[in-house]
Amino acid sequence: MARKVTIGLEIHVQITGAKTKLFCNCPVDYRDKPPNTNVCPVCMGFPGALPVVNRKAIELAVTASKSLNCEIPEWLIFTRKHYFYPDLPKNYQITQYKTVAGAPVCLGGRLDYIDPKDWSIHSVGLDRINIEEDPGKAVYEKGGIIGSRVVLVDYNRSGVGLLEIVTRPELHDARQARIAVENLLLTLWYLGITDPRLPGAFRVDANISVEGGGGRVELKNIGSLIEVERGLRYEILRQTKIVDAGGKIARETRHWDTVKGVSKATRSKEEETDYMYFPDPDLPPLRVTRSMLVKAEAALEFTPLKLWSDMNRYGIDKGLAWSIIRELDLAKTFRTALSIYRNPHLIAWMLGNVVKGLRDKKGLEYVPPAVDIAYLAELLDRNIVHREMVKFVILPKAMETKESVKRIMEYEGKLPRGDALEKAVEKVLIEESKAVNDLLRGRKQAFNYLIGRVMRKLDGKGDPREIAEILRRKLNGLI
Amino acid sequence: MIQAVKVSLEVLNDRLDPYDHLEEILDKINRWEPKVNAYAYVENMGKLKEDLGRQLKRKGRLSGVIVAVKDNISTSWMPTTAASRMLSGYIPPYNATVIEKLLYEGAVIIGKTNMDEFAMGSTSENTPYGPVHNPWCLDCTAGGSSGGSGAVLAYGGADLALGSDTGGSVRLPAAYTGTVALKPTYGTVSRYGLIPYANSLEQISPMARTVKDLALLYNTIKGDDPRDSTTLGVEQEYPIDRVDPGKTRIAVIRELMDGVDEGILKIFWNTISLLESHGFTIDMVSIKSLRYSLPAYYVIAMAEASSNLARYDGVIHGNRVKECRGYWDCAAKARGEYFGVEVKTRILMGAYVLMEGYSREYYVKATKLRRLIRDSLAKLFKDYQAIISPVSPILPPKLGEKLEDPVKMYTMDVMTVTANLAGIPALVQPAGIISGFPIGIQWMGPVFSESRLFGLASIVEDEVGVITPLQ
Ligand SMILES: [Zn+2]
Repeated sequence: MARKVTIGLEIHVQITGAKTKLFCNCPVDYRDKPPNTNVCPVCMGFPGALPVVNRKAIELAVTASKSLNCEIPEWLIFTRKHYFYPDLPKNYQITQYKTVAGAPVCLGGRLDYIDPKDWSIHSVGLDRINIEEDPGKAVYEKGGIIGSRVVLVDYNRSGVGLLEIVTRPELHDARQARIAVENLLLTLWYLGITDPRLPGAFRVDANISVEGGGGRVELKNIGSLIEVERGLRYEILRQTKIVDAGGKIARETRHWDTVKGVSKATRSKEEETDYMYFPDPDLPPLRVTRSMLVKAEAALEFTPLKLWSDMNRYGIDKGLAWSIIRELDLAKTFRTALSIYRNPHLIAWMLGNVVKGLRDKKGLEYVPPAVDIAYLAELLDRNIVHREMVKFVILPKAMETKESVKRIMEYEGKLPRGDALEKAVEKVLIEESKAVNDLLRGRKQAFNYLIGRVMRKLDGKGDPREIAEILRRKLNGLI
Repeated sequence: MIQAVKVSLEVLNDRLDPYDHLEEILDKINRWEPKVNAYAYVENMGKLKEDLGRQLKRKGRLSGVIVAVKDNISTSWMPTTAASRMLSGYIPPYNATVIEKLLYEGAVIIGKTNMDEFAMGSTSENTPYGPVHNPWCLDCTAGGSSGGSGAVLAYGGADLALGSDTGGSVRLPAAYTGTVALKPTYGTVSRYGLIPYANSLEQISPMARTVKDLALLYNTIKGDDPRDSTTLGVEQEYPIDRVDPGKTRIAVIRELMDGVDEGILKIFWNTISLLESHGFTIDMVSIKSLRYSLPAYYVIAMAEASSNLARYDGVIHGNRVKECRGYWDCAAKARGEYFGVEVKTRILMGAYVLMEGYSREYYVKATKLRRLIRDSLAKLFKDYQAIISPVSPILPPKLGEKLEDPVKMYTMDVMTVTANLAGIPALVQPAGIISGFPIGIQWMGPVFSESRLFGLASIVEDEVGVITPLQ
């Protein structure tokens, strides 16, 4: 029986864009480093070492909050949250908390997201966003802290800045939850806050309840987008079956086992932990300055939703637009190429269809630079090349060899080689002495005429900008 | 004994052999330490001579000066245990900022001084090294928690000493040992490397035998520190002001005069007469909110302490027990085994005042009282340039006496905690001797008024004289 499902998400995102950890100068890039080599007295919590706020991380958090329509307080207050765990060097985590004089970076707020099924735009409310530090990573002999005699802890990750983004319980199915998270990560990626492709850059916990079940279950340890949907589907089904059979759902925390594809109870009863919150006396309240807000506002010029509405305005096919928007490098290339040559349709077709297609089919990651894409768009417009040539020859070669489009065009005989160009220009200068004289006397139109003559000599294959450059050089700056 | 302010100059002019000076101090240590127990650790002679040779070359304002450091201030080459069995054997991987500053100016760190465990106590008896004895009265306490630093100065076991002051921890020892100490304006001295007890209240604090030496040490260690976000970014020197009595109104606070021992009162009023004879105007005023200083102080201090000490679970920080099973069992056993009773008491009380449902009644209320106290003092300082008060209501208790009754021990701090709550500077100096005990007085002023306090203290010092080191 279909029952109403209520889902709230708690998404932890590493602020990898901050370059260094939240309260010390250790790099955020801890991956692939030998255990416990990316640490210092501060992130190891040595007695007497003191946290100093990473301004860049705060700026990014403010940007995130702005992009999610939050209420941002004038003063940010950091709070200590106490619990004993071996991966937490101080046995308290520096975070933010609403009460006991705390003030998180974001209160309220709203995540708008695009559903690629029908291109509708939805919203989910946010409760708050906290800035906090990531703990270290504990590896247990027996998989869990209970029963293991040995625990190995790597503190390389300890102190990396996190955004803890908490949604209201306003999501109603697993797919929707996955799409919301995907959209959120995309936005944060665009804003330079995080790189969601890095392993462990985000983790999701979900609160799930099924109508008639009674309690809500917290599902922990979801580490990828696919797992968000898988884990939630499993948990919804599990709860629905119990409720259908007349059972009740106990309020508990369950662990998502990725390998087995099942959720497991972590403790039989949810323990009410008292975190003894109080403002961290080592960190004075931090003012959100006007310049932080201005910077944040400027960053919002480039977000997935903004690009989406721009592309819709250009009349670009929605599927094509989405395939570009989903990948930051394609989106950035689109934006830059468009600023060089204004044909959004051709640029979108090259990036969303050709480049994305080659990436998906052949695993080619390289994206030709925006100038090359703009150049190709111009050549297409001038009918110097045709679409089949671009799709099956030029772009595949460019992505495979990382050569410039111009060089590839030369090899393919679509463009005269550099020396041929030079020769054509020289010939025209001799043949068209009258036009040259006109030009030297200040008749600007003569310049375009000369370019046209050179193009004709090359059967229309030359690049007018390049010809213009050579002409100027040959005329020794006389014009 | 030579004043610290003169050492580097005399050495430079060949009027003082720095090695003789070092040996004189080591002689005193050898003579007094068996009775006083003020040092937790003394560096060996060979290493000290080597350090001295290197530090003389720096030609700083402390070249040749011998400094004792409280055992809760991190030194990268000497043990730093905060007098706790939890940290026995711990040598920090870095120096406190103040240590870097001392070394930069050419000082030699001679050793680490005994103290109450994690600075929790007012008698320097809560220590695994055994209690500190007061050189003036060997079966009395030297005050706490920086009792070791006070005692060392009293007998001449160092030129200068660093302590830390959370609620009077350098001022009570100074009062009981006849030395001078300053609890600086909060945020003027870096806490980086100070093993924390109560972060929002404490400052690393200079101790000395004379006001000039005190000013020298304070000016060496003060200053903004990018590694401590609570330093105030103020870069200024604090010379000894020449105070104009005609322009200086001094307040005596009624709430700080309750239940004070008669001998202490006698010295206090003598000092008042002396100041009046210099032309100072002195009024008795009342600040009702100071009645709440002590409870507000202890609630905040214990809350912060319980949080700060959470890290000692034997994983990265603190010693481990051999027999235990699993993380929580091992953490609990280590904490049970290696923390002293006073520390455990404060951790539990601190956890209590932070618990959900209680924190509003205790912690939040205490922070409100703190603001009230700070505001009423700020108001007072619009009309008065300084406050003068006794330091302790009682003469140094006998060793063991106060340990029996913790509440009694807490009330020893009643006159000193206000300065920590308000973040204002407070200076203690000897003002006389009664039945063999030195008696201290306390000066308090608005934030950043250290220069004025040095000036006021110099006036008293010129009249009373310097009473240490003891012979
Ligand atoms: Zn670090």
